[in-house]
Amino acid sequence: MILEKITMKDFRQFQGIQHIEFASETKSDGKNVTVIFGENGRGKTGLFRAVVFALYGERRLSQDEEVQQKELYLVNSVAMEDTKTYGKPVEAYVELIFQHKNEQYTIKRILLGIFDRDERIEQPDQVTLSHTKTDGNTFTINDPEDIKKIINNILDKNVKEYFLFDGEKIQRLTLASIEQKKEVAKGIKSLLNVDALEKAIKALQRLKKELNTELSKRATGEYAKILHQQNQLDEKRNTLKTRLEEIESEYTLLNIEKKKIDTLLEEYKEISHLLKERKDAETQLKSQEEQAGNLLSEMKSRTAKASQLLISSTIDHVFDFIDQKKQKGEIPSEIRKDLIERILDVERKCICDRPVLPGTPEQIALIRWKNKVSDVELEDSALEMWRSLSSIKNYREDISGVIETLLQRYAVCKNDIEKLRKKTESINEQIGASERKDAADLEKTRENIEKKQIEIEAERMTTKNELDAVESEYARLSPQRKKLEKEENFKNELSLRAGLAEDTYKALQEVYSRFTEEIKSRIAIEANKYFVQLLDKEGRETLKNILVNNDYSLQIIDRWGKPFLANISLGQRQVMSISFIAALAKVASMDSILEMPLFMDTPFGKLSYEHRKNLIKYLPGYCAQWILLATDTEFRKQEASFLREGKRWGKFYVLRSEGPGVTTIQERDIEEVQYLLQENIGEN
Amino acid sequence: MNMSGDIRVKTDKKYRNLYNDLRNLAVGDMHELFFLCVCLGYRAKKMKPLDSNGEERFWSRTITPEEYACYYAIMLEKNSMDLSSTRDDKLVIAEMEKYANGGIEILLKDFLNEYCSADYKLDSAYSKELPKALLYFIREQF
Repeated sequence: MILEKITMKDFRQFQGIQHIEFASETKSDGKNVTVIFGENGRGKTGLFRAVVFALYGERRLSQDEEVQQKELYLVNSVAMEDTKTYGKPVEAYVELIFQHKNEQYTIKRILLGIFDRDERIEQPDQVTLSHTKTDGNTFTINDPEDIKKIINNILDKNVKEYFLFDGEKIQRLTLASIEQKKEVAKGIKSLLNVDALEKAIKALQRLKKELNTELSKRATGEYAKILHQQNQLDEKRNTLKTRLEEIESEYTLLNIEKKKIDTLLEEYKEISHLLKERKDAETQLKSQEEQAGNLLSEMKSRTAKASQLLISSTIDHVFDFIDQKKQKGEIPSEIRKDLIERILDVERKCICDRPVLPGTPEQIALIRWKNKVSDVELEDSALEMWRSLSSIKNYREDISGVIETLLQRYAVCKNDIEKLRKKTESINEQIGASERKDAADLEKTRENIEKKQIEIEAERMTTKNELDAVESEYARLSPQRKKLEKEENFKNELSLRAGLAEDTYKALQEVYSRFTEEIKSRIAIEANKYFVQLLDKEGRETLKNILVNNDYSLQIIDRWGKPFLANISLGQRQVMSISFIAALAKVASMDSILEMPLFMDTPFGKLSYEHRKNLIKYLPGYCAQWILLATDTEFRKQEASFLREGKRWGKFYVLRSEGPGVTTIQERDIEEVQYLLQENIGEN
Repeated sequence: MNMSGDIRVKTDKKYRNLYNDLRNLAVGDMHELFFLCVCLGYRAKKMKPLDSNGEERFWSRTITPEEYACYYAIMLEKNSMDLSSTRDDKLVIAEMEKYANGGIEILLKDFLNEYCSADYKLDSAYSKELPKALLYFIREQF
């Protein structure tokens, strides 16, 4: 892909229709460097956004991670203000013309902006792609999905950041997370056409399976048995491979989750003392609430005893009555009533044998006695009542005391609960969001994730071992199968095709393995060449070489052979990333220059003088097109002078402010540069 | 003290919900709640016969000796200390049922009005602290 021209209408700061033509090697002068110069806020990143928006329809750049979607506007603000007057939506667009493999493409994306009351709304509209082939025929594609496929085939979305990037952020490629690395590896494979090889291997695997299934249906005897075994092993191998892929994904997801937790835990560190205080307060609160519950239960059990106090006077009154009777000897009676009745009604004589006859003074005296005493049952009952009432009277004071104590303890407990609740509320206010998970919960979740990862790791080992066993069993059976084919002269077309598919599958796997190894090694070699050229003297003394890992991530080795990536500076990381990109481009283009632009926003921000000088000197030779979006502080007379010396500088544009929210693009002659730029101060 | 255990103690049918709710939320056992109502009723000398003979609520065997002693004491005091008034437990309990029925009306009027609905059902959401409130209420009556 070589960018030829970009046209923008009411996009970001670029009001009205404005355009830029890029210098490219395809043009007769062979110059491939374009510099777009502007102070901060003039729209350099807006231009970068325009390219990414045109190609992929993406509104956000990787540097917008912390920006809310709602806050990011692409339609020009001044034009939007006009809609308030006219009420029509603003039609903003970006049109990008580029060449790829000698064919021309024009992609145009429209974005509509309108105010709905006071809310600003931006809505993607039509997208079209015109493709002019080498024979001069032009095709127009309107289906967004088809356009997406075509663009991704030209420059995979996953590797776009290797070619269209913010110079200051490019070093992030060396810090990519596991999941990003996977995506990047996918993109790089696509760029290097390694994915085509993977697809071919998969297709052969399917063909092999189909042929073997067909063959096993027709085969007989020992040969059929071996075929059946191999088919089963093949099936198992595929299942195990799928499981291994799933395990990798699960592991990656767990890693993402773990990282999120780690970020949250970092935040928690700042409020850990408050969390501890809240936890203590909550524990105390729980204990106080339990105590209050216990006190209420105890109160429930004391109600009956307390009720006795309501009839204290009755209890006292009856107790005194029985007590007096007791003291007078009326209860229990001195003579039992049943004995007097027996003397009067049955014996008619006294214990001393004296007769008791009706009307005699003895009988009258005994009847008087009889009327005075109660019956035995009632007396016993009264005595029992006396004992019970005596007991009630005895603990009356105790029960009063207990009730008072219970009520007081409950009041104190409630007061403590109220205080603790207020304390918790106050801590929550200080923390900010009381509904957030506690650090302890997060730690627990993290522990669970780590446990799960250990389990997954164990499963991965087991699955790998199982897969190895299956592969080895499959390999063991292969010669037997061939021998039987030979012995039985089994040479029908189907078996020959199955054998051929098997051999090709093996050969392709071998090719894949060697090819990827070679590619990685070549990328590393090329990256090291560029790295040595671009690095300053001190860096060359410390850093030995770049290594490309299996997932195409990078490592750097110091002069003592130790991994050193974590210790290098931001500038060195930037140089390392650019070296890798240049190497990638070279390997992908089979040792010529890859038809890809290097579109760099703020290219020199973090670079030292020598790094800048080297980059300006060598980079135009590494790539097909270099587009620099530079500020006045990083692109000064000296940088311009180095660039002119290289004789690859073709176009120069200046972004000028025409008032708030409006920038115009002005093309300038390279010869005028010296009058526009600042002197370099204190650098040599 | 016979303390018969085979008598079915009755309360007014319309207070069924109230007895059940108070038993669950504020008191503990039905005989204890009945005792409280008797004490309140007798203290205020308020007796109220049960509507259509009332509804059986619990067995007399759950009444404690102390509660029985208090019931006999009430009977004695009420009947000019005639010990024979405590002879028939059925009669004693029947008298107590009337005092309890009077007592629950006092509870309703003086204490439960803010916790209770028109159909004499307690609102459990507001009744968490009922044991405490009831104890306060009893204490205030001393």
